[in-house]
Amino acid sequence: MLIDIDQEQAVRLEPDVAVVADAREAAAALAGELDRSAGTSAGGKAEAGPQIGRPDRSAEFRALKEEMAREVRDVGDDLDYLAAIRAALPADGFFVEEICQAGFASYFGFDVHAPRQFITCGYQGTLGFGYPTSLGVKAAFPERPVVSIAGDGGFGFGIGELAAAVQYDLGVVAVVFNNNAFGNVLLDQQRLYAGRDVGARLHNPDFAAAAEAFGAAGYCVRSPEALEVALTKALADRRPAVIEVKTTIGAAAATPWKYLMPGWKSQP
Amino acid sequence: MTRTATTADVIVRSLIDHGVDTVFGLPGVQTYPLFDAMSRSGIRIIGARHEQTVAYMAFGYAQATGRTGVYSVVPGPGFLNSSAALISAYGASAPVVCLTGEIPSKFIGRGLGHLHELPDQLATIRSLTKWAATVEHPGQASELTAQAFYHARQGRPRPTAIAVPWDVLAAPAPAPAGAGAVRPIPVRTPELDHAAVARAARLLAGASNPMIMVGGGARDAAAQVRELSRRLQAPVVSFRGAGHRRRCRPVRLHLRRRLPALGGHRRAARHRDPARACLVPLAGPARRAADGAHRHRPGAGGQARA
Repeated sequence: MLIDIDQEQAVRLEPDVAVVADAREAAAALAGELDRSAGTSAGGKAEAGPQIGRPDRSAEFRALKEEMAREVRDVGDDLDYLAAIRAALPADGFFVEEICQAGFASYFGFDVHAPRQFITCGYQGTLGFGYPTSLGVKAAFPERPVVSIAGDGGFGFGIGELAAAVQYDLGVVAVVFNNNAFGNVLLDQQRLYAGRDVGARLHNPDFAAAAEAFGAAGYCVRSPEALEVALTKALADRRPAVIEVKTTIGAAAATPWKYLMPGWKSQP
Repeated sequence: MTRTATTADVIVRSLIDHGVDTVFGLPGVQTYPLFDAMSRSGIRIIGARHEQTVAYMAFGYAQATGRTGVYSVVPGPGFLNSSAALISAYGASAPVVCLTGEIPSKFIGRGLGHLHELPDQLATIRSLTKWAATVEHPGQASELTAQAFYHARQGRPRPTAIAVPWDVLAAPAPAPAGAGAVRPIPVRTPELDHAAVARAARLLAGASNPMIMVGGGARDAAAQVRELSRRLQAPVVSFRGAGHRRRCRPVRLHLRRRLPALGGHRRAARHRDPARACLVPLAGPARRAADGAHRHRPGAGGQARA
């Protein structure tokens, strides 16, 4: 069944039952209706318990979740870097994804504590959206920490906005995973075209020095442990900052795509 | 010295009536009156070095707060520079209002090559937004601004835009800001179809393995989703970090932060008995879900339904 505010979605998705409504109202009504029907079938007990007769599946789901967390471990470093960010970012902080290897892994490998704290470009996959978007998040919530991740390619789209961050005191911390390439493209090309690549390698500035030239703080790290230390410090400083993470293209044992796109291996 | 109220003053009065506290903007010759009026209004202006940035800022503001993000750019190339952000907001169902300019009224459609002229700017804007209008005279300004905010939030939130020709923006407004201003138009929620809810409840009551997939429209429904997940003993999964996990005890299952289309559901469901997994998408997995439903519709089970 589908609950959606948009009538058109009910046409697109062809659910068996569509409820076109506000999510709060419909979910609450559905829970109430389940209580009523359970109460009726169980002999009129109006005070429905939390499980309306269904056995508690928490342990089963926990085990499944742990199993899947183990399964995705082969993605490697990116999950460690994401864990370092999660460890340094307070629970009320915002995480702004971006089109990069760590960003793809974040779709399934970053713990999100509350709605609206994972900021995304959605299905457009808009390379370069992350850092500029994060500045708007920070403008809305100047007292809450905001971390924007990007690859070197995507960050390049908006690197000039370090000036805006400093000018308007928008203390976003940008974590830039630098593999000196539009890495996803480069890996695709090499995989699909007998090891050849074209137009995907990048020359970059020294990101930490560039940040400092704009008046922001600059850091450079080479490990998840060092990222956690640098990010903790950068967030405490509350200034605009860039943390460059030196990475190696293709170092991950497995691509995050195998967990994002069913049938990925069979792509041409 | 007394000033005569202009179209720009009427629009800014409407921004304030709509609770706008921040406008992300890059001023230019066509929008000088708007920026001057905003600077006198107390609205915070945050600038940038590229039009794409101010639009992305409005997108980030909207996504983080749930309120409407507002940005302003010059027409033509300025608007086009903001278009990748605008279409991202469209895709992510974020309420964003774009305030842009337009070449002078009497040049529109004549192809004389006025500064920042597009062959058909309104058609271009409409292809990237849910709703857009050109303010053709000062008397429309209040109404069309209110409409832009209304359409950005009514039903599925999405970006909207108004474009004001250079001459119209600076023109004296017949109704001074305040008197005769169109108030914010309340958004309506559809009336709940109780029969459909009852049908859904019957299906779900008989479902052995239900799962709840939340989309962006469920971001303000965490408490209700938790209650539903408890009653159904259903795991809650999402695209891209909906963040309901902590609030979904005791179930707390969050298989993957982002389930790619319904293929992700298939992956998740595969771990159980795929033929018996039941899907309860809540409030709009975005259009990608629809694409995915067809592209990845499994031939052998996986997307069974409640």
